Amino acid sequence: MFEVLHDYILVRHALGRGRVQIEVKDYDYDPLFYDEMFGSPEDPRSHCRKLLDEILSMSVEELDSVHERVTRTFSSQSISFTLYGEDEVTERIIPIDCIPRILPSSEWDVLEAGLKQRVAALNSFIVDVYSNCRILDDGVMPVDVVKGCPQYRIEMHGVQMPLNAPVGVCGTDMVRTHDGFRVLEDNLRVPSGVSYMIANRQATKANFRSIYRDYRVREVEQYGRHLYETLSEFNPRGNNDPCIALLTPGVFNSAFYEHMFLADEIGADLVEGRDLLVNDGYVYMRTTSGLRRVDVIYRRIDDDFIDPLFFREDSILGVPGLMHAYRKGNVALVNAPGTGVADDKSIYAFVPDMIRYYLSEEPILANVDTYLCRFPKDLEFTLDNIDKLVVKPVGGSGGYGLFLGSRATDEERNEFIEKLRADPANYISQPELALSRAPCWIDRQLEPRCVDLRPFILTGTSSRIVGGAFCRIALPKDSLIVNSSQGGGAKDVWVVDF
Amino acid sequence: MLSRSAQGLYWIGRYLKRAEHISRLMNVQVAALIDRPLAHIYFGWTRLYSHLGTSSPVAALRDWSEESDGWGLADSFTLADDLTFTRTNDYSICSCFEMGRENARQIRHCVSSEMWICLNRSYFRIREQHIEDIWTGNPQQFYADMVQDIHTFMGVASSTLYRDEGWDFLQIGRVIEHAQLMSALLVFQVSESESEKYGDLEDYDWLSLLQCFQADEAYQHYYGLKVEPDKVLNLLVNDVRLPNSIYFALDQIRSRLDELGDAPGNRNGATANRFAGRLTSLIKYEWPDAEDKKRMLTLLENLAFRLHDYISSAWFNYEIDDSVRF
Repeated sequence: MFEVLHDYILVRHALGRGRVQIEVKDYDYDPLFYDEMFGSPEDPRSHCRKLLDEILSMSVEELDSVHERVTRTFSSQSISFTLYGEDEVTERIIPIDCIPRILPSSEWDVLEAGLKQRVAALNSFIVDVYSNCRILDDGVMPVDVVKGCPQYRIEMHGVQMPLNAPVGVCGTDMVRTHDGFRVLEDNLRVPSGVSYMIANRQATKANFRSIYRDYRVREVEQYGRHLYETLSEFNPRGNNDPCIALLTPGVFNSAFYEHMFLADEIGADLVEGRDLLVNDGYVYMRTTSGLRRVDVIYRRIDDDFIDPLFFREDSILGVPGLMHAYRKGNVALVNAPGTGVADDKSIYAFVPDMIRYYLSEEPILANVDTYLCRFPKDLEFTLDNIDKLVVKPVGGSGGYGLFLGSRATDEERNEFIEKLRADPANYISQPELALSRAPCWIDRQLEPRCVDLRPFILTGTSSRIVGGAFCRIALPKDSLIVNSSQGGGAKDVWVVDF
Repeated sequence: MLSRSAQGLYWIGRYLKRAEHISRLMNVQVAALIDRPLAHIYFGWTRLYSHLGTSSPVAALRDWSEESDGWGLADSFTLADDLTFTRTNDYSICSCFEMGRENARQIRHCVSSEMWICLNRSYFRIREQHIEDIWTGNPQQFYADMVQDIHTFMGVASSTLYRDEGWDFLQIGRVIEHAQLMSALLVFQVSESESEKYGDLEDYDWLSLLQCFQADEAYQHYYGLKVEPDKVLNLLVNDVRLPNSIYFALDQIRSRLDELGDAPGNRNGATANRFAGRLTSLIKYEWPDAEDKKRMLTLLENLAFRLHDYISSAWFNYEIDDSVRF
């Protein structure tokens, strides 16, 4: 029926009645970027051949219809996140790309080992800085970097953290360049995106049924079960039937869809602060049958708002007295408050040192070179090379406040330099990376777009990772910013035995 | 079940019933625009706005007289838009869908996926339309489709929703909204039907009322073609076999509250159960002999509002004391 040309230099030819074969000859391959599908324009990577064959066996109309079906799955279920503009709040459906990104298991297994190692070190670090501070006494990290970090919670000092695992759920952002994978940042507070990973999978596999089966893709759908098991391990009562609640800031939170989704996956009640109360050091939720004791709270609300008696007193989202119950060990909070100290961008630079210090191992995964502007030498380097660097506020997230030197006008650059000089400790800089690109279906053709990868690591008594990740796409042409709030999209990630 | 989730389901039931109720009335009203005299049309609009307790955006509707030419069919376009698509009007069908969906969104894990998809589709369908899209075509079909969408949603709920308290609260919300709107509508009807300001309504007021609730077929079957207000009232208020009668609605509330049993706000829970029982008895035993039907209907309307408060303080916003801990 359709002619598939295996030398991958395809010539557009009409399939009669206006049907047009998909072609890759116009694919904008750029050797500067690592391409997830092509080693060179003529040579697809071996683990991607089967997928490429499948795509090239379709007409433009067919792939367009697959794309539309995948998108429709998202819109009919309102798989969305909330975007806050200056004047209005919009519910945005994440643009999903129908072409999966494929990672061979040989690469994935290294990532998995590296991520487990990294989270183990981060957990040790958090427990340490809120107890003995050995790492500071031993001079591995400067005291002021840790204790001056805005996310360091003095209130958590001396608090016993269940299982010594303050970070139960971690989402680590990874990028790939020609030099391999690197960790861009660790998200240790309330990482989001896992629901889109599962939703992407459900939508994508339904539309690539036969090759999905052929590829023997690792499942991501058991994430909910792993999360439930992990949270159960934190149960302070130690019984087999813990009452788990997922604490959300509410429907106006940008990740509210995910909160609903996960509550459903783990069979937990989705609670807001107003549904909970603390009495005699125990936490209860208000149900139609009366008050029910809560054992584990998977909190998706920032530290600041969790307990107005402990942190921000003007918070109306939290639960007064919750931290009292936590300190008494009557309820577990996952993740623990104060974990933000370890995902601050200036602390990030020391994670390889933490791994060596706590685990006596060499880091499996590399960091991106990072310059801490709080140090005069690094500040000088940053100012001298600002047109080649990305400068980020240390406590920022979501791509907000990020300065891309190469794309700024002179005026913007001078303005930013003033800000940087005024408060250098608030910034770090990193080289602008050529993020790897993956083919996406855009405007009825294959177009390369920059992608990142966020795998999720669960840690209770042991660590668990599902074979898949949330892959974000920088949708505008030539953009490097993948954040959903800044116009990013998403695609499925298939980990395959190869 | 989390009290807030139960409350969310209760309000989904209420908002969707309100959307259905307004769609039914709008269906009859846009049919009247085809061939009814202006007086009938005016009566229909006034009935809609008055019983909903909201004001019309068209000043001429408030100051209308049959002789004046300040009001006409063109205003119906504005009024239909106001009650159908205007999102700033809490009583528009679109707003009711939006609030029903918003409640479902907040407790998404308590409704089945099929319910959510069904509600979401209906919501986006109405949200993406404008009055101009339906007005020149067949607006009656649009309103009939809205009613159909809500029936479909309730059917999907019936087939897929787990039968815990959530199901009961969804149903209680639906029927309590019906009882409140229906009694408010009938209060208006008995008060205003005889008013001279509408001229000769030629039984249109009562006939259209029956049509709003698909009760015209049952009426003709049991009472014949002659429309008599007392019989219409009896059918719509205390007929045990008519699913849209007030008695039918209140009896469902009573039996669902019985099934729910004791509420955590114990005292209020028992009160809510007793109160629903008293309401059904009132209709069953006192309505037939009541001479002042308007007074009875006003009483029913007030009591239906109080029933809402009792349910809310029994299950959703109860006071905390040691007796409610488990």
